[in-house]
Amino acid sequence: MLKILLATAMLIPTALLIKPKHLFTTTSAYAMLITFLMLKWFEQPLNHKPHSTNTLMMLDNITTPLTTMSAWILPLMIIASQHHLVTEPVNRKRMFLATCATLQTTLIMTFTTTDLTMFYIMFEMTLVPTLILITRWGSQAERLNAGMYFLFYTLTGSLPLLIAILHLYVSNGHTTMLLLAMQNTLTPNMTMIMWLACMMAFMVKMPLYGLHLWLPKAHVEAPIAGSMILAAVLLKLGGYGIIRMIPLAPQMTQTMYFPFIVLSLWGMIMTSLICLRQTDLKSIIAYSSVSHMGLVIAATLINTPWSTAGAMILMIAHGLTSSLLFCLANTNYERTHTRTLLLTQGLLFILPLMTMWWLVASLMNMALPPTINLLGELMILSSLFNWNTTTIILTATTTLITATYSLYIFITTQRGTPLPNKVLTPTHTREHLLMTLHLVPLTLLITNPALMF
Amino acid sequence: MAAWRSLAGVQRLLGLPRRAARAASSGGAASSAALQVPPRASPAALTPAHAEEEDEEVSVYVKNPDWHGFDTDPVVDLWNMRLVFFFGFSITIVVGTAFVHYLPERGLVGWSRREAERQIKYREAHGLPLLDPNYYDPSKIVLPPEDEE
Amino acid sequence: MSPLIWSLLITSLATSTIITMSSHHWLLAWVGLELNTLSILPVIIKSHHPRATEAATKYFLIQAAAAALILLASTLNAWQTGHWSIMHTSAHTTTIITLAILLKLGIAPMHGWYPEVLQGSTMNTALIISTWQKLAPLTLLYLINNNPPTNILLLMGVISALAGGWIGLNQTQTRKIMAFSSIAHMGWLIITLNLSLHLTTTTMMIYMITTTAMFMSLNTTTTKTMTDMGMAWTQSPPLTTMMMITLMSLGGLPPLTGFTPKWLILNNLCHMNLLFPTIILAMASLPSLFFYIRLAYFTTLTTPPNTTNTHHKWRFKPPLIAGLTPATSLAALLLPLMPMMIS
Repeated sequence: MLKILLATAMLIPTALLIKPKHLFTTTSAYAMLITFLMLKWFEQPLNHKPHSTNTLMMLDNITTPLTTMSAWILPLMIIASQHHLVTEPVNRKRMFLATCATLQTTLIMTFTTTDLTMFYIMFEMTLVPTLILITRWGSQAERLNAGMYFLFYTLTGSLPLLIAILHLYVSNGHTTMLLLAMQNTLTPNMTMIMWLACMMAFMVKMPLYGLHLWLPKAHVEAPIAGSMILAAVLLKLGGYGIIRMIPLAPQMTQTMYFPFIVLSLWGMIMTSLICLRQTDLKSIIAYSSVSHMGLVIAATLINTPWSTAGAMILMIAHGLTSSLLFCLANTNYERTHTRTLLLTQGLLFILPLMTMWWLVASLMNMALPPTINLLGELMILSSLFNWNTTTIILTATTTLITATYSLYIFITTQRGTPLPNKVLTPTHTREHLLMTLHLVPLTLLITNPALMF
Repeated sequence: MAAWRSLAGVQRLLGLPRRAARAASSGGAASSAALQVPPRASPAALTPAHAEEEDEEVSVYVKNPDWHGFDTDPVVDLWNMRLVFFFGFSITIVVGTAFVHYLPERGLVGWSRREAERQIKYREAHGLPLLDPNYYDPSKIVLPPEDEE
Repeated sequence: MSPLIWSLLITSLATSTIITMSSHHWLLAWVGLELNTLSILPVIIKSHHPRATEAATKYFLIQAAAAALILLASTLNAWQTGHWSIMHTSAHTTTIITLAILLKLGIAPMHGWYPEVLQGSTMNTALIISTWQKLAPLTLLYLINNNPPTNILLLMGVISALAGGWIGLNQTQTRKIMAFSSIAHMGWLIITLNLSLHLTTTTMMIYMITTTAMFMSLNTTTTKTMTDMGMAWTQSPPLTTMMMITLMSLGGLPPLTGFTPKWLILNNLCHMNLLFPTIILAMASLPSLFFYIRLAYFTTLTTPPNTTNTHHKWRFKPPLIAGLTPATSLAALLLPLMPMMIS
C-alpha cells in the first residue's frame, strides 16, 4: 500500500520540479504506471475481508475498485486538461498538476484507511484541492459561488459526522471501523440522531435529492479535470461512506431508511425529468449523476449482498461513464466555447468520429446490454424489487427517462444543422485517446464483473 | 565513430531533434511534419503569456499539421502521444488486463465449488445424506461434565 | 520614535507580561497588567493618525477598566479571605475577575473595542495585541482555574465563537476580519479552560502560530482591505498560496494545523457529554470559514482585473520577514504532530 501511496505523493514534487518540456508527458505516464501497479491490489486469493490490512490501512473488495478507478482517473484528468492549460505559464501548470496529485493522494488515503477519524480528516482534505480546482481553474465568475456551495454543503453535512465519530471514540476508546463493525457496542444505545449524523455527510456528498443543489453548480463551473474527478470519485466517497457506516448500525438503518430511500427514488425521477429540460450540456450530465446516485443510495441503504454489489458496479460504471461524458462535453466546449445545447448542434457533420464516441457514451449512460452500467442497474433494480415490489414503478420510469435524456443529449448535439460561421478545429489524437481510455475499462469489466464487488 | 553514427540513426528513427539540418532525415518518423519547424528550446517559449485566443488554435496546425493535441512543440507533442499510448494502452490496459486475468481466483470461489462437488460425489458414493445437520459426529464430541463449576 | 525608547517599550512589554505570569500576589499581577497596557500604548499611538489615537484611547480605557475591576475583586478577595494569593479566590471574586479578564481578552459580549483597536493600529501592533497581549490575562485565568465559573466560561465561549463568525461576515478590512477571527478563536480557547489546561495551552499556541502567520503575510503584502488582497500576487505569488493555506488553517479545515484544537476541543466536549455546545461550536466554525474562504478567493483563487502598472510592483523586492516561512509552514503542517502536542 505504501508503495502506491508514496508513489502518488511523489507526483507532487515531480509536477513541481520536472523540466517544463516533460511536464505533462511524465506526470500522465507516471500516473498510469501507478494505476498499473495498483492492479496488484486485486489479488485476493483467500476469502478474507479485508484481504490485506496493516495498522492504518486496509484493502477489501469495496476499497480496491474505487481506489483503482480514482487512480485511473488521474492520468485521464491530466490528458483532458492539456488543451485548456496550453496558454498558461508553466508555473501555473505545475500548480494545477500538483493540486490534482494532492487530491489523488488524499483520495487513496480516504478509501484505504481503517480509522474513522482518519477517514474524516481525509474526507475533508479532499475538499481543499477540489475547491482549488473549481474556483481557481473554472472559467466563469459563478465558479466562486459554486465553490462556496460545494464547500459549505459538504462541511455542514460532515460536521455532525465529526461529532458522531468523536462520540464513538469517547464511548469505545477507538474508532477503527473493523472493530466497531465487529463489536457493535453502538447498536443498543444508538439513537436516531447518531444515525443521521453518521449518514448525513454521505447523503450530502452522494448527493441525495434535496441536498444536491451544490452538485450541478460545481459541475457546471468546474474545469474539465474538476468535473471528471467530482463525477468519477468524489460522489463515490458518499457511497463508500454509506457502505462503511451501515455495519456500525444495522438495526437503526432498518427503521431509518424509509424516507431516504423514498427521497432517492423520487429524486431519480425528478432529476431525470430536470435533465430533459436543461439547456446546458454539463448541467444535464450533472443531473444525470444525481439520478444515478439515487439508485446507489437506495441500494446501499437496503444493504443486501446483491444491492451492495450492484451499488459498487454502478458506482464504477457511472464514474467512468460520466467522466467520459464530461470529457466529450469539454471537447465541444473547447471548440465552440459554449455549453449551450442550441449552439452546439449538428456536430455530426463537423466531427464525425466524435459522434461515434457520443453515441457509445450515450448508450453507456442509458445502460445498454453489454455494459456494466446495465449489470449494476439490474442488480439494484432486482434487489429493490425484492425489498418492495412497488419500487419497480419508480425505477422503471427512471430507466425510461434516462434513456430519453441520453438520446436527447445525443440528438441535440449531433443532429440538426450546424450553426454557420463557426470554424471548428478537427479532433485530436489526444481526445480520441481520452475517450478510448475511458471506454476500454468499461467494456472490459463486463468480462469480469466480480472484480468490482 | 560508428557507434556515434548508429546512435544518430536511432535518434533519427525515434524522431528526436538534432542540431544538424533535419532535411537529411528523410526516413524519420515525423520528419515531414517537423521540417518546417526548427526544434525549440521549450514549450514555454512557444506559448506567450497572452496569446491571441482566436488565432492560437489555427496557428498550431499551420506549424504542425500532424498535431496530436498534446503540446505546441511538435517533438514534445509526438513523444507525449507515444508515451501516453504506451503507458495507457500497452502497460495498463493490455498488460494490466492480462495480469488481472491470470491472478489467482478471488476469495476461494472456485476452490469451494470444487470442494463441494468432491464432497457430493463422496457422499453419493457412500450413500450418506448430502447435507447432514450434524457437521461433527455428536458421539465423538467430548463435553465437559455437567457439575463442573 | 527613537530606538532607545522603542527597545525600552518592547522590553517593558515583555517584562510586564512575565511579571503577571510569575506573580503569586494579586497586586503584582495587577501591576504587571497595568504596565503591559502602558507599554503598548505608545506603540499603538506611534503612527500619528487620528485613528491611532482613538485606538490607543479605547485600548487604554478598556484595559484600565478591566484592571481596576481586577484590583477591586482582588481587594474584595483579600478582605474576605485575608490573603492576596492568586491561587485561592472565593466564588464571587472569581466571577468578577473572570469577567474582567474576558473583557481584556475581548470575548464576545465585551468585544466591541477589539476590532476598532486593531483597525486603528499598524499591522505589527495588531499582531502584538492579538497574540502577546492575550498571554498575561490568560495566565491569570490559568491560575484561578481551581474554581472556575464554568457556566460563564462555556456560555461566553459559545457566544464568542458565534459572534466572531457572524459579525466577521460583512467586514472588508483585513485587520477587522482578523479581529473577529481572533474573537471566535478566543471563544474556543476559553471553553477549553473548563476541559483541560493542557488543551488550553495547545489551543493558544496554535492560535498564535496561525494568527502570526496570517498577520505576517498581510504585513509582507501590505494588505489592508479585501481589494488589496487581490494585488497580493504581484508581491509574491508563492506567498499567496501560503496565505490561502494559512487562512484555511485558521478556519480549521483538516488536515491543517488549525483543525487540531477544534478536534481536541470537540473531543473533550463529547467526553463531558456536552453535546449541545459541541454541535453549536462545530457549526459556529462555518461562518468564520466562510470569510476566510472569501479572503482566499481574493488572494489566490481569482486574479482580479488590474492595470499595467501593477505588474511593476514585484520588481521591488518584497521585504521578506524572516519568520514568515517557519510561521506559515507551522500554520499548515502541525496536525500530524498532534500526539506530541497534547501529551
